Amino acid sequence: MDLDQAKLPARRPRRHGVWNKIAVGSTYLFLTIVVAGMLFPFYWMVTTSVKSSDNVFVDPPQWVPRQRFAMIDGKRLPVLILGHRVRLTESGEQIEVEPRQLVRRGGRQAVRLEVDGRAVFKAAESVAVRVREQREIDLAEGEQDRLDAHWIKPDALSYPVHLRWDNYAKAWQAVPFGRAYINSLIVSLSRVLGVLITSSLAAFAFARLEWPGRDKIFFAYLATLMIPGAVTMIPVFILITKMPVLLDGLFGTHLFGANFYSLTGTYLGRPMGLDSYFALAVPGMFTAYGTFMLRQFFRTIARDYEEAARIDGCSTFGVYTRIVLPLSIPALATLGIFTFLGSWRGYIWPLIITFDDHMKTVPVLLRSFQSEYGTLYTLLMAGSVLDVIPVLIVFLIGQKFFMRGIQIGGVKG
Amino acid sequence: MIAGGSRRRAIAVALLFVGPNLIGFLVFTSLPVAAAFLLAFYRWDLISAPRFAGLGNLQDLMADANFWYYLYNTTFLMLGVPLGMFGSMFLAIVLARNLPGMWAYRTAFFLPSITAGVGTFILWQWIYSPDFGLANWLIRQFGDGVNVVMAAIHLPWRVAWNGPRWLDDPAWAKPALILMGLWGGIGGTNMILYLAALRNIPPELYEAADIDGAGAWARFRHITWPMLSPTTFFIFIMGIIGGFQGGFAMAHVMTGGGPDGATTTISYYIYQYAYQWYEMGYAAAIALAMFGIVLIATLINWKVGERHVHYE
Repeated sequence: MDLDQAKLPARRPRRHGVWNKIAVGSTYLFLTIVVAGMLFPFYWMVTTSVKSSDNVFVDPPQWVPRQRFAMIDGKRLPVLILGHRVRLTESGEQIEVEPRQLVRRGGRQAVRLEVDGRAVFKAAESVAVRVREQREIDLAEGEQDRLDAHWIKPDALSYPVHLRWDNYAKAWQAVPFGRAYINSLIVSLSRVLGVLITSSLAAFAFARLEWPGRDKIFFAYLATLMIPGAVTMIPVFILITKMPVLLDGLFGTHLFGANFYSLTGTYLGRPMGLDSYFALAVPGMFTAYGTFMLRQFFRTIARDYEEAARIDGCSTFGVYTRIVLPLSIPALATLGIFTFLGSWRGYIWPLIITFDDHMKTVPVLLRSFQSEYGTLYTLLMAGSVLDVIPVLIVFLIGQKFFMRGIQIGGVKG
Repeated sequence: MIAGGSRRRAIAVALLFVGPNLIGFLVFTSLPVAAAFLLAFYRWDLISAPRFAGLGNLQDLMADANFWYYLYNTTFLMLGVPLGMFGSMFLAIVLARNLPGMWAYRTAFFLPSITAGVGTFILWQWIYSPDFGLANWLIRQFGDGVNVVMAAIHLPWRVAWNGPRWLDDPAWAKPALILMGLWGGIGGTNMILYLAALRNIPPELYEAADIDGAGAWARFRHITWPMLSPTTFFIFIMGIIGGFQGGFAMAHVMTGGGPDGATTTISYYIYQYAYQWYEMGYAAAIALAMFGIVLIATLINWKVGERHVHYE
């Protein structure tokens, strides 16, 4: 016995006690740091969306949104600082400076002046502040500058933490956001419906029915998965633009390419062609992806159920609706969620197929107003938050399906 | 097989089921592929009649300096694929320890990838703002810290780091995009795939390694890495296939393909030709070239992978 013990190779001592605690602790620490880094951009997105726009591009960055307020004509209004009148401590002279020239040096107020091309700091104190009311966007270009400027005492200015939730309302007004949401919803939901119905029917045919040419056609489906989207997109784009003309020619109508408006005059798009819901929703319904995934899943369903049902006189369609579909609800849910998310976040296709702002989906609308919002980055961030929220909701609700779906099909999120 | 009238019935039933999907598939997927091949031999601006150009498009493409430059851009951006892969693997290994609360971290890690889109692109434009963005602010803070240390140890050297111009600088634009891609990709589907694969590694392997006195690195090299190699192979191939086709949305939103075309990828180039300049034939030619490149790259990957991937 002793000899055997001596021949055993030395066991690496297991971590126990203090070492294990340190290892666990540092794991949590590392993960927390990484999570902080990953989530910080979202914190920034949300806080910037409720800031006042003069606080976005500042150095150092403003971590907690603040807003300057002043009492003007008896009302407490959010204001923008246009300038200061300062009194130089040394000479007693009063000069007017820009906001960024008033700084703190050595714990006291000072002004930064340019003398012979070099920066010079002189002790000074602010005697009066020139402000104007700050309203983010409900004035036309140029009108903002004509708002009256007021001179107020420095101590009439307050700078509390303040969240401008009205930025969201402004973002919504400035741009047909509500309509874009509806568009995205219509497109995504109809695409989900289309995919679930057509793909499950087809997958059933590939998985459970016998018919000539079945496997060859399925192979053709698979082959197209390799083809880049850009290749098929160009001919489909051409098809979409030409379709109304073709159909109108075929039926002798003028309907298919006509612009439709609601009773209140809002643009409703066309039945087909560019700026149509058809063009937005339909082409994406027919990728081989859903059919492939469901076919693989259907093949795992035991044939016994089907055989038992057929013995009882169930039709083929009955097998589909009463046996295969109910057993496939997790796979269908997964496919539905992926289709929804893919459609909501789709960018290129809606971009090239829509020209009128009323027919754009949320991501495209957001982008097309990037230049319009221009200096109003806060509204742009509000729009971005609005773009991200539905995705978050769908993901958090369908998390289980999502994670399982990734493992079933190795799907790209 | 199925005989006579029963065969016709079988076809009829199958058609009813497959029909809708098959029609859509033909109209929107398979026929367009054939059409794209045809289109590449013509010059067409959608308005006037198409003009046959034979191999002209292909010749122009081979001689097109922009095409090769944008191909370089596309490949450069694909550096993010292996980087992200290793990052995801690392995170998955850490998360696989299954300490309490890991699910919360996993969900948090997933958020950047699920929300990636125009909203986050605009956000990262601020992060990369040369004077007011987070990236350069961090760099400046770091520089200040270095200066504090230098002063503390009485050395005269000071630094004045301001950070690069990021998206305004042709040399830094692509690395900036890669970094953003890593943020969005590291905690995403790849990490989930690795987590699942890690869970399938039999613990007896690790126990055996322990008995033999293997250290952490040896455990990784001889057990974890080989057992993960099928997943790695899959992720890498999908990454290459996707990488050649990608980069459009972020270029369109953040840089407009600039500066000086530094962030224009092949897909962006196709967009320009097809939907800005309405040169459908040439665009189709570029798209087909992209397809060919993807095929070749996938084949190479496959051959290399087959030799190195460890299957049970």
